[in-house]
Amino acid sequence: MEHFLLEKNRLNEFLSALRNYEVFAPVRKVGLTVFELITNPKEAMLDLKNQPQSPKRVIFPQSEILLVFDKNNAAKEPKGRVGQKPQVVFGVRPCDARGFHMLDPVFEREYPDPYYLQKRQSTLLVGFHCSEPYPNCFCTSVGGNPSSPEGLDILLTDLGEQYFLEVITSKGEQVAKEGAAVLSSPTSQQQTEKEKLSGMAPQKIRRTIDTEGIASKIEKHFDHSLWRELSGKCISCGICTYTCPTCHCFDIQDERVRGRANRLRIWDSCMFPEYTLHASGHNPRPTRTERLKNRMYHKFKQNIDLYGVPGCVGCGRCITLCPENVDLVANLKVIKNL
Amino acid sequence: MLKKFDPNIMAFLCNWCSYAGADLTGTSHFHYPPNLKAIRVMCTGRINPLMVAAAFRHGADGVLISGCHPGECHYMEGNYLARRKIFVFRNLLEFVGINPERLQMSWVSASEGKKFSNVVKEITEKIKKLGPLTTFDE
Amino acid sequence: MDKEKLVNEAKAVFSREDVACLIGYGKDSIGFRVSPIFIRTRDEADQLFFSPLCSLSLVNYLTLEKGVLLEGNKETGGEKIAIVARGCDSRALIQLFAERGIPREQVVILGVPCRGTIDLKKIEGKFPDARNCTEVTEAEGMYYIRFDNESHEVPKEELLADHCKHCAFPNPLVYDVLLEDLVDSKGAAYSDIEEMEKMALEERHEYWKDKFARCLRCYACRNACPLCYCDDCILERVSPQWVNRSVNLSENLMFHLARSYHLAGRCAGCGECERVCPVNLPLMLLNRKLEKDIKNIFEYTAGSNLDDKPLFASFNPKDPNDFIF
Ligand code: FES
Repeated sequence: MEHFLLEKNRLNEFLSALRNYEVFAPVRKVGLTVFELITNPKEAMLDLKNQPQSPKRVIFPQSEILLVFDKNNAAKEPKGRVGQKPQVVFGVRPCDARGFHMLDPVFEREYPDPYYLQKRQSTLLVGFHCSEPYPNCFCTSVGGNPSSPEGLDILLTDLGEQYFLEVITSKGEQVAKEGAAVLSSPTSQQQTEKEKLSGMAPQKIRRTIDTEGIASKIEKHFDHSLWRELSGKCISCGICTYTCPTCHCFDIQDERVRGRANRLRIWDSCMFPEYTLHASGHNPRPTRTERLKNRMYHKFKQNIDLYGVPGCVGCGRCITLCPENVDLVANLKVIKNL
Repeated sequence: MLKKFDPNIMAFLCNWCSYAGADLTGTSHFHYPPNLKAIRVMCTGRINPLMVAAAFRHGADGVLISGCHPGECHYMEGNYLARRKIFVFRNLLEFVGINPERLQMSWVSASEGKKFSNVVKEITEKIKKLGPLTTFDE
Repeated sequence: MDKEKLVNEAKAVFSREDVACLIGYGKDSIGFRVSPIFIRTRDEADQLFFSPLCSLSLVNYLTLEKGVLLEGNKETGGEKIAIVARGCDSRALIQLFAERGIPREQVVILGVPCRGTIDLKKIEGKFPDARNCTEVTEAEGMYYIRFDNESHEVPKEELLADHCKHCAFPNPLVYDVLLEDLVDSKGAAYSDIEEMEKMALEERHEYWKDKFARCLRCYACRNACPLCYCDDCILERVSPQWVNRSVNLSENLMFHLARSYHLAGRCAGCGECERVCPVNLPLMLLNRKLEKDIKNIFEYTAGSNLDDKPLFASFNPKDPNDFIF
């Protein structure tokens, strides 16, 4: 597909040109970078670091009202459930974009999920080549790459003064057209420069694990006593699941607030005891051991069985943010070496 | 035109004093504003401040907790314990930006029908001045 | 701290007492990280260490999954749990004992006088590329940090965890073994709280709105808290459902009201809630606000005295009454 050049100081103009889109971009809030709907391009902060949350929530929000009803009125869909305008998510890390690739089959197959799919189809992902990976990134070990265009519609690479803009999909082409006024074409030198950067990127990833055969190991050692040790320090909070770009478990609940009621979908976390609690009071995953094992099993065994790839993009958030340093890569190594 | 604000006030009244006091207000034909919705509890000591938060969450603009006078609680010290809890909870409300005046407390004995009607009048006026609680609108 | 002393005392505890498990600090393989470790035999005690990087509290493991720390020691049949505890941890322990969360006789406390700990977010922010930290020591207001092949000096103020700045109890208040000489302590400071109290009500509301809107409801603050150990937490209740599952400003506020109020007169000031929060909510402000008021009005400090009755299980006829009709 086509290649362009975008002067860094014209980035705001480029964003302003996207009048037909709702633009989500990383903004700085309370010392963190979070994805939010922006009205002024100046708010956007192209900081790929320090994003505790993936942009997953733009398409798959943490809580989403599906129906509203009250005593007198039959249930109806809330107004404005689907964005009127198509959306652009700007400043996505390639691993997070791959995350959407992992979510797609979950919401597409068997029971197509309109809430997710409509938003997914009308959302465009503009990604950034990840030139400075986090200390805990391990995307190259799970089939990713810091400069991978997979899942993205447009990929930008930082060349210093300019961004090298690659159009990946036809959706991306449309956006490039809207912003055409501020785009120019790259020289062949810039093209080589970009390729050089992409080539260098994977070497910057410092954590690696060979995931080959991990699925069968997990299967084989499902009842091993080591799991108990691995989970010893886990405190059963939801950080790893809620910050994960590929975790997708949700719950559906009816909630009453002031005479109205909402049926809503909310993220759930397999780290909570409540997640598997039966109405009878029985809990098939009563302790942290089963829960931690389940998360690894789901990502590195079940997901491979179902969709052919591990359900992990190697963004490293669950490692970095875990309050007690439960380390997924280290744990995988332990299992692998059994 | 702005609709007149009619506050929603939730009251938790202890079974042995204030609920009986409220009863007396009625039987003695003392009037008080109809904004008050009373819930009978066995003792003020039984009130978990979370019940207050839940009342606010579900649409109360003000909450009244009323029990026996200090030293007269049917369970000896329930009201003393309640006083501490509510005092601390009011400070917490204020710290997160909710006016603590929205949470009121009173001691009304079974014989104080007049006092109860006055308390309710005064509180209703207070809450009217404060306006609707919008903190939990979302 | 002298590692040898710590290890020897830990080993002595294993020989002397009927200990099934010792919870202590161990160095993690990555960067500046320190992990809780669970020592089950005398020989494993060599892994223990203590440094200003030990900012996490271990007390919550005592109540996390009942009985899990005692299992696996069938041979020796140990009945007790030993724990490395700093000043704040000892307060949490006292509070636990007072509430009968765990019996005093079951816990062997290795007390560590603490000079304040380093905020991991701050040190990782300063040295993001550090791979293997070999040493952190403190002397005269400076931290001496070695990692990989580098060594650095950083002023203590720059890295000190926020809650440690306000700490009034650096020394363990209850212990079986004291690992070092006691350190000087200063009174509690609440100047930041007082600043906030001066703000207008609406202003404060805006301040918290901004914060609570970020909350992910991962409940890490609850789970890491040494004093949040109810078997049946109201947050998991469905009937009545005190806090709805929706993640929005109202429910988040409900949650934080419930959380902080539940710690009124109980919070030990260890700062775990703030440390673990993935979205940096200043939760200790809420806890310390209540701590301050309770101290001023009721002359009560949680976890400061083994014989104190819990705050809300006691009263004084002279408690404030002027807010009541
Ligand atoms: S019974 Fe009235 S306050 Fe306790």
